[in-house]
Amino acid sequence: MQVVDGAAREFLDGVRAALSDLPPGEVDEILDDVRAHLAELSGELGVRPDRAALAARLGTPQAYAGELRAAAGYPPAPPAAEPAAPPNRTAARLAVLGLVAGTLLIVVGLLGRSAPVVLLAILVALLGLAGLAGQSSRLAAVAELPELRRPLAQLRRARSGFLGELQPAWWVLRAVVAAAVVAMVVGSADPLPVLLLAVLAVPLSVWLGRHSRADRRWLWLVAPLNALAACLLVIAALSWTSAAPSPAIDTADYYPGPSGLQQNGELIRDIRPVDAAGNPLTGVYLFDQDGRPIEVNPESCYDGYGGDPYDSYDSGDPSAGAAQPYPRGTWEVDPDTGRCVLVPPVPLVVAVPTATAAAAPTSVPPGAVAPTGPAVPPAPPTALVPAPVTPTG
Amino acid sequence: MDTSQLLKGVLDLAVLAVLDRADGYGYEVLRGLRAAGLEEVGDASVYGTLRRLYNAGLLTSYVVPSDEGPHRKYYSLNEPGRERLRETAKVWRGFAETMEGLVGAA
Repeated sequence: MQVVDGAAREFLDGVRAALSDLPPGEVDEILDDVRAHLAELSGELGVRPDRAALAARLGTPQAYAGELRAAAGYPPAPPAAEPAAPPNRTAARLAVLGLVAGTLLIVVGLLGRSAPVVLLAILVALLGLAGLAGQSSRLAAVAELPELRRPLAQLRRARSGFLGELQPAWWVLRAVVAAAVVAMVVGSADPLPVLLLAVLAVPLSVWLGRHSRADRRWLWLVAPLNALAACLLVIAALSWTSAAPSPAIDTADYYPGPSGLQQNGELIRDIRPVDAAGNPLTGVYLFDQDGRPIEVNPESCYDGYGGDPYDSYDSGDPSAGAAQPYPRGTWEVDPDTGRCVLVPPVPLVVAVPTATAAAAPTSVPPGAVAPTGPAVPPAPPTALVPAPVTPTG
Repeated sequence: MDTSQLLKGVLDLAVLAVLDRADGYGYEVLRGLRAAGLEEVGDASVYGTLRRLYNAGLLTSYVVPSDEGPHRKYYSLNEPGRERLRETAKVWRGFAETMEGLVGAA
């Protein structure tokens, strides 16, 4: 794009102003032509033409624009649209503010799954737009806002470059976002409905994209929707990356349950191993499939005196519990003292699934209870640092 | 009588005819028309006509870098454009004949 300055720039600005009611994309292309035209003229004249030279050759910018309008078949300029130049800037600003605020509110509403907020957002956006109802060219009124002129120009430049070629990809992407939003609102997070909706949404989005290129009035709808899709996409990307390490379970609904072993919902407080004949075993170490020691419930015995007996496995050194063989006995509150005491494993009569008489549950006379002598614990090193670390799954 | 009035009706045909000879950028088309004798054609009219024909899908355009300045947007007739040129030329010949018959004796 060549540099234009002085009289040429003035002329260009004049033509732009006179065509301000036309679609901006069209005006941009016309102005590209005019710029080229002026460059050819100055090449022909050999100097940078001054205002008089331009006027002699081309007439006033308004006349030039009028002639071009007629030849190109554009509608005639709306009467007195230009003289009433400083259009209602407050209304234009309110409209833009309404759209921006509405878009942000919709994002908030969707994230909070709050229908009233989304409705409020749409209302805010519409109220802003209603302020512009009286303007003949609402888009021009907004595009003329001084604070928006530079970003809009940058946007146009970006679109005519590499980003412009990516535009169709964006159309597809935003359709997928829209499909996901609809699926979310309906209450489904499955990929299949999203996919089906996207199949419908993509052609619509592409159509909208092509259409809004030609008819800029669609921008009222398309620009906020684009912003919305972009916001949601960014938020989704952020939450996805931050949530990636944790399992995809809604933490609010997920209760891990009490720690330790359970059976049929009841906590297991001790394990009483017996051999094949039903004889109680002592000094048994239990490990899970990964070699971690199996812990019964570190459920506290509350006696009000502190000194939680299970503290050692519960918190603190995790290996403290690892060295404890089963059976361990259970901690109970002594009714006399009110303190927690370790109740040694009471003898059990268990049914061992064998048909032989030998296997018949060995009844141990009460009293002859206790751990029958110090059982030799399994070689501690291998037990504590379980060898089968190779996953057997 | 001012030829610019007459030109209005036939500028499309004139521009299509110039582009049928060779592709050209806006200013080239303008010069082509002037060189052919249409001195009174307005600059903006030619550019406007090119835009309209382009928007109507009768022309294609491509950009050619130029050493001496800005890139130039060349226009070229496509098939619908050539078709339009043939039709309009036919209409024009009939019209010119009629007019010639009408004013030939003057």
